[in-house]
Amino acid sequence: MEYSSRTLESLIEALCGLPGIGTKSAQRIALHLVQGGKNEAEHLARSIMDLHDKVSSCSVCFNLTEDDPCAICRDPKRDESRICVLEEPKDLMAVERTGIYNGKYHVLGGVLSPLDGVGESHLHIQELMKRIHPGISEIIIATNPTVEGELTASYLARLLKPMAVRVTRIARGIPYGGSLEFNDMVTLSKAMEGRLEVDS
Amino acid sequence: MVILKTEAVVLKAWNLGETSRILSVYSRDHGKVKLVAKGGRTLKSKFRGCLEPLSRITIEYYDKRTRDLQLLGRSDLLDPHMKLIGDMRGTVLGLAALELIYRAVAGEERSVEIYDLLSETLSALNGAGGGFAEGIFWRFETRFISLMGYQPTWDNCLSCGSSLGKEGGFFQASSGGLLCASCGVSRGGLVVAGGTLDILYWLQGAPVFEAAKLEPTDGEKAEIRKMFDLYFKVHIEHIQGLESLKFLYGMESTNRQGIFPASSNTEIH
Ligand SMILES: [Zn+2]
Ligand SMILES: [Zn+2]
Repeated sequence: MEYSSRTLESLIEALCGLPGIGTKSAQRIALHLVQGGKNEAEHLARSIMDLHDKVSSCSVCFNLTEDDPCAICRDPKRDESRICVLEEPKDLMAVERTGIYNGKYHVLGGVLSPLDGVGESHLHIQELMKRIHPGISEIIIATNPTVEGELTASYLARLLKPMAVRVTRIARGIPYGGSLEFNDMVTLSKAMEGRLEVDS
Repeated sequence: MVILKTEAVVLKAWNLGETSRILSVYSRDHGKVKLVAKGGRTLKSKFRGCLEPLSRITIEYYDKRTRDLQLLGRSDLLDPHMKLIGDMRGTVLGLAALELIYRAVAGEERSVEIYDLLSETLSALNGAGGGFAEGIFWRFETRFISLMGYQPTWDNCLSCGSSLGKEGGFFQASSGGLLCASCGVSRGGLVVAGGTLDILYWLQGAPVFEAAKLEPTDGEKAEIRKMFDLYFKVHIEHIQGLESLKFLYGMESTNRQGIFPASSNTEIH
């Protein structure tokens, strides 16, 4: 055994499973926690436990939230007539950070992926359809500019067509094959401003 | 460690960690290769635009035989097949071709013929416009089967050798061919019409762009789909129907208010 304590070893193992954390970082964090105050460790442990007890998906837009519906869905100052459709909550956070968009959101929970057997029923597509009513003036499709993101955009445009709602796609200021979360604010703002009609 | 340079088509891609991407490619000279593009998803990446399925790219990598994952050193985009964006049917058929190679070809098998077939198929799908794109995919399937060593016979009876005319025959997936009406009566098989066989026979020799000019009937279309499906189930292990095709057929059968028409060639652009 590399470590003198089985508990320490198990914590390091658990930390290693987190995104962006290698063995060295995991060791550093674990040692910091064991050598630091008990309060800090308790605070961290409680925050992690709270995540699962308190944070869940908004039943309207599928953003992560503690209250259902989420704060954005409940906010009367936000433009109810626009819905921006995204792949993941992290993409929503990225658009929110730009401060340029004042409408509502809808998180799909992924993209259509024919090779992996991910179809319409695996995503929150039907829930999006149910949100469309005569008061909705625009659906902005902001899936990533990847093969599957574009396929999902076309698919949604087709589904939405009979509903007589304007469907737009964010402009391609974002590099092909990239991810929304890695774009700087300016690029993402430009992409939101320059969105175009999706022909169908 | 040697540096290898070749051309490749991206079959599949996954994110790795915060910024990297793993690619499975089918390369012209070294068959199927798994590569890691370090930092490939960041804005400043030198691999930008090269890391999406359906793209044809050049690759330069450090080949370490002992490793399953090779390090991508350099890559340039040759053709992203841009016209497939917004063309759902074309995209899904392209993905189905990638899926077939991804699942049916083992890493060490290399074939310039398979590479060229894949490459010309994607170019043709990209340029198919309003044509019958599935014809290009059928041509790909029949030629791929031949290149994998299971040359099918569409024109003569497997048992008595008589030529199969307008009356069609009985398809035998395991032996890769058909029986005529009299030989098949006792032994059975999937009943296939003469028109269907004419299409398959023609596709074996047809230039790739011609394949999109096909105008099959709904019956011929259903028979050809069924035949390939049976063929892959029997000859290629683990292939119980291609996921991409299930997606395509699902899209057609949903057919909500004619949203995804099954027989029309029209696509959104
Ligand atoms: Zn919400
Ligand atoms: Zn016979």
